Amino acid sequence: MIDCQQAFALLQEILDKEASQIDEKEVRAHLEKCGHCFETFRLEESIQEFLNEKIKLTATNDSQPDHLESMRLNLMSQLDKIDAECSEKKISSFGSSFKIFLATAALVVLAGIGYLSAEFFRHGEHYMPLEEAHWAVTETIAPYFSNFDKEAYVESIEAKMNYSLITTFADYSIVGAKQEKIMNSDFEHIVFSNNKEYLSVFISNSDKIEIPDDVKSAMVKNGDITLYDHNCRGCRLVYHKIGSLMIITASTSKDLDLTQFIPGHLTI
Amino acid sequence: MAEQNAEAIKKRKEFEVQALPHMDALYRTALRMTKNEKDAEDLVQEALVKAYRYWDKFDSGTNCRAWLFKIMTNIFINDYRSKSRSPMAVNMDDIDENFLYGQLAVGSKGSNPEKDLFNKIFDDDVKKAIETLPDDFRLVVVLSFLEDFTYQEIADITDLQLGTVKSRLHRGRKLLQKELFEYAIKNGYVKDKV
Repeated sequence: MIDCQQAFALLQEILDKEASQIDEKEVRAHLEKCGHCFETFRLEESIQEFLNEKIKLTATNDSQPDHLESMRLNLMSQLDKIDAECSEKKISSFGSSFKIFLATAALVVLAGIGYLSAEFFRHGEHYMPLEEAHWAVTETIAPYFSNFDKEAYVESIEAKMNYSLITTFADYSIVGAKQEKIMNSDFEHIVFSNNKEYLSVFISNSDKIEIPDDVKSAMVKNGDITLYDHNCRGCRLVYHKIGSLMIITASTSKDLDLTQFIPGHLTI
Repeated sequence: MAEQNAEAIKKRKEFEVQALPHMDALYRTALRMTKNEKDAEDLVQEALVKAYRYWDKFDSGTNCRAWLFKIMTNIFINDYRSKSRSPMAVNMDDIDENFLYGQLAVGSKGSNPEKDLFNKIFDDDVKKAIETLPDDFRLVVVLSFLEDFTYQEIADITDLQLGTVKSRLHRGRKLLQKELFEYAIKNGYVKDKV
């Protein structure tokens, strides 16, 4: 149980929707017991809600559609100019040494930008493909169902990976599965559902899949299994490694505590 | 030659599909940052032209919106930020952490003392309050409150440490609260007695 000081330390994360589910739960539990904190949090949260709403409203009101359309046209004509420049450059053969100097300078700039973007896209590379595969089930569940035989599938996983899957968790049960290639690695993607929300389990025995470095600090224990909880706005993946298997879970439900969910165990 | 042409057309198409839809968001943020339409328009144009020139450096499938905001933020910081950059003239010690809580006289449980306050804050006040924030605070506040970027995304966009992003957001929030409270008083908000 956390105290007032610890609750306040999490106020900002809660206002910015950056608190992990576990922290948020702890804080809410504290608020139920502490009137002073309850009032302060309620006040801060309603002010934040008011601010977010007004900031968006006034910004939208200030962006006139006509104006945006004329900006778009203006941009298009600038892009046309760039396109024309590029095709001219390609036609003309190598020019003066000045051109080579310019090209070298441009390369240096590009290398710099490339370096910056490499760092910048880390998030996109590590988490987005898994999140996308997970959310794809909400678009159409059909591919996961095709010829799906739950018993046979669970047996095949056990035979192939020495991993015994559980078939139900809380009110969720396995509804389908398929093999997918994500981030150049083969994954078994198993989908659980309670007819409302979905829960994805990704299992891979590829040694190319690692727990991303920045997630390693977010360790949570569940029994003797260590989970790594990547939880930031709109994206939550919980990783754990067992034997040579990497297991990653994700859920469309915000209320489900993924750190409580261990989808199976090794059979050897 | 035909191949080159096809490639150029493909690039243009990709840019129009992936980058262009973010123009509205770029513009509304630019408007809050530069505080005037002309500069905001120039800033967005400049950012999108630059993005187009470096389009082959963009890894498609990754977060295009954040990439565009990063380009725009860089241009803003280098070229548009108020030229007379005096060191931060904000003394945070003046701001009491629980300023609003104290002012709103939270007495009876279950009541909503902030309702009366909100009624005395007009949309224009919110806009003014944001515009009075110092640039450094305004940037992170707008990226978070208006554009819903995460701490990590804001850190990537602004090249700031995560901790700096958090502390600027915190201070920005407190400054905004104080400013809005003052507007409410000006507009006739009367504090309830405890």
